[in-house]
Amino acid sequence: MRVILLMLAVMVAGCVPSQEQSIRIGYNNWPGYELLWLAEELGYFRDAGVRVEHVQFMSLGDSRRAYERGQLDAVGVTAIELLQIPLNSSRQAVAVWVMDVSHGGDQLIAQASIRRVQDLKGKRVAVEPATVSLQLISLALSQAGLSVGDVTLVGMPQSHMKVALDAAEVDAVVSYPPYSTDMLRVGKTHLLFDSAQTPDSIVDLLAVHPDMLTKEPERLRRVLTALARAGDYLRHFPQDAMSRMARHAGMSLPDMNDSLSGLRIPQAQDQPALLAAGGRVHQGIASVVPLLDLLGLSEASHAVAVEDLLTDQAARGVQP
Amino acid sequence: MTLEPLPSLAQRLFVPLLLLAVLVAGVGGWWVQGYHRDSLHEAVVKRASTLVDAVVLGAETIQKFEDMQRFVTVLAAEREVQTVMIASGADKRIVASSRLGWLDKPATSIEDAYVRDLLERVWRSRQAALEVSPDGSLSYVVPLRLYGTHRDNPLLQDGMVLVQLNNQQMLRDALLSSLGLWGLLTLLTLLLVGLMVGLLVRWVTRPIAQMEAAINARMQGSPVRVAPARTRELARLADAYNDMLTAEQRANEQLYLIEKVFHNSQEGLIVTDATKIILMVNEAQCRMSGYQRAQLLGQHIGLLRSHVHTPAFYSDMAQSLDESGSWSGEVVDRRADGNLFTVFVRISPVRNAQGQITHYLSIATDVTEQKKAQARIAWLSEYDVLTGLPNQTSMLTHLQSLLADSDVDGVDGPATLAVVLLDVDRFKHVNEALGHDTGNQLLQQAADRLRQHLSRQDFLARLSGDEFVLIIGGMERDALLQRLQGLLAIMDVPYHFDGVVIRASVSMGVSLYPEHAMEARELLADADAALYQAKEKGRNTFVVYQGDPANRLYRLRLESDLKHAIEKGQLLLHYQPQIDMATGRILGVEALVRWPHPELGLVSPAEFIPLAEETGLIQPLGTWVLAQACQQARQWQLAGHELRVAVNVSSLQFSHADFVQQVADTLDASGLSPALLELELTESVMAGDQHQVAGVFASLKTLGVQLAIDDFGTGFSSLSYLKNFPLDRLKVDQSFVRSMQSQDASSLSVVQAVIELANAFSLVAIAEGVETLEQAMLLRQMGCEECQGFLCARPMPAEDLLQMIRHSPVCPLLRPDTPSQTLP
Repeated sequence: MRVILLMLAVMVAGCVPSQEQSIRIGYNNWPGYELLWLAEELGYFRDAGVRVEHVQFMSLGDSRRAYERGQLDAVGVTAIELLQIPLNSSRQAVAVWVMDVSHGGDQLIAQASIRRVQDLKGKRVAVEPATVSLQLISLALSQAGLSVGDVTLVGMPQSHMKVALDAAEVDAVVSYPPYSTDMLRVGKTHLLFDSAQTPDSIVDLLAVHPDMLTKEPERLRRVLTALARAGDYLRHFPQDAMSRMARHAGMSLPDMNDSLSGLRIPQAQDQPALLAAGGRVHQGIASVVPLLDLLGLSEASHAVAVEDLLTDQAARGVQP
Repeated sequence: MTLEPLPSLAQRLFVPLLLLAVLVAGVGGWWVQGYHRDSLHEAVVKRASTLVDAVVLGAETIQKFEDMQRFVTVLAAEREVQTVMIASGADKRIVASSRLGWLDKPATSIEDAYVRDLLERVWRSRQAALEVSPDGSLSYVVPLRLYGTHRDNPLLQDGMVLVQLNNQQMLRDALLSSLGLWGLLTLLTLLLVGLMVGLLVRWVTRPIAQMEAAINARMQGSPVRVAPARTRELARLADAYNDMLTAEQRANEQLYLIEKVFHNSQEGLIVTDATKIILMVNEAQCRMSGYQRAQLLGQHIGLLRSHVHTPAFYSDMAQSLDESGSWSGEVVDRRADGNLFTVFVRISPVRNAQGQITHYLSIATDVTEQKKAQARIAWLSEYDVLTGLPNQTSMLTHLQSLLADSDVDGVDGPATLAVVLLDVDRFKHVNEALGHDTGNQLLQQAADRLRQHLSRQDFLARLSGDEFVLIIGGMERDALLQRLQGLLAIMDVPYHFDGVVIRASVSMGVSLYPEHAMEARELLADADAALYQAKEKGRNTFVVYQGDPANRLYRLRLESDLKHAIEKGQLLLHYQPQIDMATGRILGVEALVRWPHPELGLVSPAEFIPLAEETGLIQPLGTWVLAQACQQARQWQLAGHELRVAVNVSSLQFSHADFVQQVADTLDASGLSPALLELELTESVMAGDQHQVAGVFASLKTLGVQLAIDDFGTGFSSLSYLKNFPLDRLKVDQSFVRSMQSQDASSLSVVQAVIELANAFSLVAIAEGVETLEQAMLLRQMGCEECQGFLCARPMPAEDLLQMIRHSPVCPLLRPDTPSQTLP
């Protein structure tokens, strides 16, 4: 009897395909995230022995919600989304890689009449609700001695901002390339503040489910290694890389170029320092915690443990 | 018996059950797989159409390009969704796509040739297409009409929606789950099979094994009961087996009991088969027949047969068995040692269901001893134990049968018969003096003597006591008398017992048939009467019946009259002088009783004295005689004649407790000098308790009376009492005196011995019955001092005696001057 059962078990096991599950990574059409696609297209993932499914979104909110719904294994997020995920859902997310550091990539664009940030007091500022735009406006206002309460925040999607700005429905918008590229090209509006003025504060992160850290550290390491390679490729062959990335993102090469110009892609060796506890990223995330009020999450804000939201563990395993 | 090569029930069933399990698992797996595949396909298609419907709905509702695009990407975030795309317009421009790279490009520019081609086909045909792509994904393309979805073209225009689903993952999941389900199904089936086998073992195989163990135990002689099974059929089987055990146990107990009964039965039991070969035999039968059991088993029953029975006996037995079903009766069989034994046998055949005889059962009771006892009883009823002679009963039967057979003409039987009744003379004295053992020996020897002198036709029987009957047939009277005479002589020869010599003559009474009587009892009564007469005649003789029929009643009358006579004083005393042989003087007298019967005349004392003794009248008679004699002697004394009076005392009188007192009283009453009274005692008196007798003698002697022994030499004569008892006189019996010279030389010796004995003990010897001078002389010569008899005087009345004393007080014949030399 036992022999028969054993035979059966072996038979069943033999029938199951040994192919590994692919890792679904979702991200919106942000150039910093397109490195993921670059690694895919260059076959770095395949080389590393991992399969990645790329799920594209039109916004960070969409990709966050998809992650929260469990449709994704990894997601490209900013500090805002990273903080929200455990508060909105039962899923956890831990940042393991800094995709890019916004270095002017996030921009505060205002009507020509608004010359200084201080001028925004009492004005209407369009922000993408619950996005990194809040972080930027907060940083911008605080540098100018103002607070978020000094302006009227108007929520709208990126795609509407240009129209709203053109129609003077709002006095300023928080945007980023390629959306901002058009706005700045016209001349009626101008760049009032960008993330270059707050270095390493606004970052795009690759966050994964904590299970991956504990159960599949090797797979994660391979994914990150492939990403690092893609970053290297971008540095060495920017034109080819950007063209590939733009094509995938449905962006024009100039848009891609614009966007990337406002970003800095950290190298593998920089990653641990960035992600270390008390590091810059840690501080950036912590700075967003007070903004949770604006997200309607004030109640939960004190429950957030920032140190649980990021780790340098995976990054440290990646050979530069 | 080995059954090892055969597979067990569980093994037998295991393979089919396993095959069944494999079949169920296989079919189930196939079905599950098929069902899953179908349902998966259905689900994928449904999913695809749902997505398409959603996209179509979105396309129709969402006005803004950006929102449409967002909607599409969010839809495509679902795990199995690969691509969601909307194209519209003549240039088939992609207006929304989950692949952002495709946006705003014509569908014709899609690198994937299959998708491009599919879209082209749908575009042209305007028919929805659902296809599986070469990479295994499902592509669903639905044509639709769109408007306002393109910022540059607000008009309604043709479009289409592409939804690509990655069903590989789904298929893999489905396969895994169906495999899991199949595995579960298989496992369950196998568990079920295992359970069934286990239940089979528990409910069937194990009870069967227990049953087998129970049966084996039962065969080895230690039956155990089977535990109740859990299934009805096996429980019934177990119950049936247990019931069988119970029944068997009961049967065994019965068998055991039957065997016990069989072997312990006191009756001989044999079981044979139909051919009468012995199969079983019990102890009693072995004992009875003297065979060992092993000697009988396997043998034919004929082994036991004696040749006493005829073949017809056995064939009758067989016929009876056949017809009536059993036979019983007495059979004489032969023991192992050859002796015969008689059994009462009951034989029953045992029949089988078809009525055929299978066995015979014989129950035998040994009746050999019973037969012997019966024979003994029969013999005892007809014979006398002491002498072995026929008894009175058989004598009567014989006599009656002789009489019945007899023909006076002598044709069939003896024409004449003589019935001789014999009686041993003075047997009573022998018995009293020497004891019954000696008496019995005497009777046996007498019987032997008689038996030795029987002729073939004679019949001898013992009636009772000392009485014998001899039936003699067909003899002439003279020859008969001659023979009887001879018999007297034979019987008179003395008997010798342990140094004691006894003379026991016989007296015989004879009756003759048909002369005296025709009936047996009459003949016997006549013979009895004749015997009585013979006794009266002085014994040692025979008398042929005289034919007086009244004689039979004579004794009865005499008895009654005697009683009367004593009371009425009809008796008389006569006195016979006793003479001194030296001087011839009368020394004394013997008182002799006389009975002058008013009708019968003078009755002899020989008749009525025994009668008085027999009837107890001797007591009053003796008292009367004593008193009368004493009175008479006193009168004589008063008259101046000192005469000694001798009175006969019967042993009965003597043994009376008051006898001494009575003598003393009588002497007192009469006033007679005791020395003048002499008591004559027979020898039989001495046979009693010596101590008591000595006491009485001493008392009598103290009174002063004289004592004499009467009839000395005829009975129990012993020197010891002559020495021990204070006697005065010995009386020599007249039979010796009478035959002293004539017949018997021994009589002379006896007389002489008695006289010498008397002299030796300083006793006076007195001879009785002296009738001739020769006798007197002889006696005197031998030293006898006194005599009594007809020679000198007969017994006479007292008056006559007085006259005689007065006139001739001396017997002239014995006067001293009578020369003895003159005697021959």
